[in-house]
Amino acid sequence: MIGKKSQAEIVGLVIIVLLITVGLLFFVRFVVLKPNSDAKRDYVDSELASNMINVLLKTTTDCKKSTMSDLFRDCAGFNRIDCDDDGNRGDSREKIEEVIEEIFNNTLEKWEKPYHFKAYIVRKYNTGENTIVERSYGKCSGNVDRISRTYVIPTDMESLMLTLDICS
Amino acid sequence: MKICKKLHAQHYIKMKNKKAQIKMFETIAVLLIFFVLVGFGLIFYMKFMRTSIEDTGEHQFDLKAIQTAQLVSFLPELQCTSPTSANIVIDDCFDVLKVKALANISKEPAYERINNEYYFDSFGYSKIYIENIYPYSPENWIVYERTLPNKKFQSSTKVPVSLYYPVTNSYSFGVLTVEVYG
Amino acid sequence: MNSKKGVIEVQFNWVFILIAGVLILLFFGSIVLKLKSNSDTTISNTILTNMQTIMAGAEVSSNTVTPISIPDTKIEVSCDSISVGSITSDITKNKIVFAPEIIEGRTMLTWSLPWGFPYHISNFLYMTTPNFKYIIVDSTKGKEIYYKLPQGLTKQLVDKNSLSDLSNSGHKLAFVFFNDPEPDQASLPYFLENMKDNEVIAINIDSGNNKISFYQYKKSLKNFEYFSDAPYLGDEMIIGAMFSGDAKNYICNLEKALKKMEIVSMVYAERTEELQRIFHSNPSCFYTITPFEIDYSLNNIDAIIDSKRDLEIRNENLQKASCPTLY
Repeated sequence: MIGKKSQAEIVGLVIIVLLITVGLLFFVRFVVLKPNSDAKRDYVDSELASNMINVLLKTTTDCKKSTMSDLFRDCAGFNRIDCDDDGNRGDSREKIEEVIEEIFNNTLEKWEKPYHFKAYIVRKYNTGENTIVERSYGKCSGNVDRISRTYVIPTDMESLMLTLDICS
Repeated sequence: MKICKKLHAQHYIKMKNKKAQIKMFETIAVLLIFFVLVGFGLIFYMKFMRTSIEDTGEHQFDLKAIQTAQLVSFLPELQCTSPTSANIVIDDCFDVLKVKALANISKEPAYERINNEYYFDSFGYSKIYIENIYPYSPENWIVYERTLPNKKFQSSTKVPVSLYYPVTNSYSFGVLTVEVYG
Repeated sequence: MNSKKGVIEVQFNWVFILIAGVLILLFFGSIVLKLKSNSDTTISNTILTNMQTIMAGAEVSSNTVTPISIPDTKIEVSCDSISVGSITSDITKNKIVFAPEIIEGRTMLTWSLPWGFPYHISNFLYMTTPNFKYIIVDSTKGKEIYYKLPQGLTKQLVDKNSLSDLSNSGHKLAFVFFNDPEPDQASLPYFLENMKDNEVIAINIDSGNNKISFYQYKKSLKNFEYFSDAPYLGDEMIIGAMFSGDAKNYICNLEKALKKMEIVSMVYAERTEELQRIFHSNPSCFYTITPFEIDYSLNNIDAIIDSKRDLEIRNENLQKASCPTLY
């Protein structure tokens, strides 16, 4: 009789211990190990990526008062812009590189924000692509978390793509 | 025989009393342990709640920082307007003459009331300034500044913006920095 | 003696159980009540945070209509605060929110419009629920306002002679008249007598004098009763008056809008001074800060309207002369 009573008590104890364990497991799973969402970083990176390209393309350069968008279009097209009036056309690529270096150096690189920027021409009738400018900083390749923005500039002959990846 | 019976009864009563005392102590002990366990649970819950409240506070601060940055980006006092309709605003663009005007106004003691009452209501403790990145110019404009002496949090948000020069009709590359203190 | 002791012991046990039970129940009861009040506060706070986020969003992007699902609670909106239950949150001085005093129901509609006079000054945020029906009396201005209102809103354009034919749709009603007829002279539908006084309001727009008059239905009079009037600057303010339906709330928001106008104008005046300095030697680019230097108060609405016209003309002239514009 006494043996049976103690057995029942042990079963009761085991049930209580099991219930507490299951409760704790649920608590740990859903409350303690809750994924940490960083809303601010997501917002800032996404604004940064889209604004960088938008603002960059609108910027007026010291090359015949052309905007970066004009320079990209010229570079992807007929290469007619002569910035220093020396008779040699095709200065747009050089100017693009110069401006991009100055802007990225004083923004994303100064703020130590890893990024990868690429401007390339996608040929309409064959599959190749021609890179105009490519620049990166920090670890921004492989499986790194990133926010990516692509901007397409239609030109007479081909499409010009600009992509900017901001990595965390 | 009678004496023996009496002694036996007394012994029985003593035994029963002891048993009842033991039972009472047992009940009190169980209750004590129960309340100790509940106490532990409550302490654990409070600690967890405090962390959770701190997290919420930080999240709210982040939200405030984002809202302030957003608010400044779309401030009519700074935004470029379309030449066709003044109600059409150009995104991510500040009119440099407006920026300079607001920076001047915020410096002038005559406008302190506006800064204290109006902008403090929207921006709180923060510093908002705009830099010219390309073409490079050392000039930067502080459009609002109100620092907090004992700040716990600080968040800095940088947003690239076009700076429009109406006189030359050109755009330069600028950066809006919003530092929020909490 | 022995049996008596036993009785005392048994009774003591029951007393002990009773006291301990009551204590335990009180303890857990108080925890449950505290958690419930905490949870209510959390819900109210969440609603208010969401409302603040919506308001911040509306401030930066205009022309967006957003239906928002809300818990079945009463949201009280005034010109400078918004409350859910016992929790109140401030509406900052730069947020102009036109809404009925009480928002109830499962859905809330938010909408925003840019307001400029003539330059962009602010975005107005409008809040309402599908429970409100806006009945606009047909006229040229009436049609203009009707088509400006978003699709999700419960709205109806009604001929002035058909007002009495309206049927009860179970909505709270806001009538918009355009002086022909005035609310207290219109023939109204009979079912209004079965509605509560505060469920039927009317506004009358006098475009000639830029004036909005506020009315409330009185069952005892079987007609609208005039309350007060206020000026308006642009269609966005007419819509604001429709949504708030209350003169006090409308005037408070109008004052906020004028304050914002004063600040934005100050920036434009400073900007114009800079342009004046740059172009002082160019006679075709003439700049003056006079149109900005006015009193931006409720008593000076006519001067504000005149200044708007003046600025529009000056801006057009500058544009024609290929000079940087005033705004």
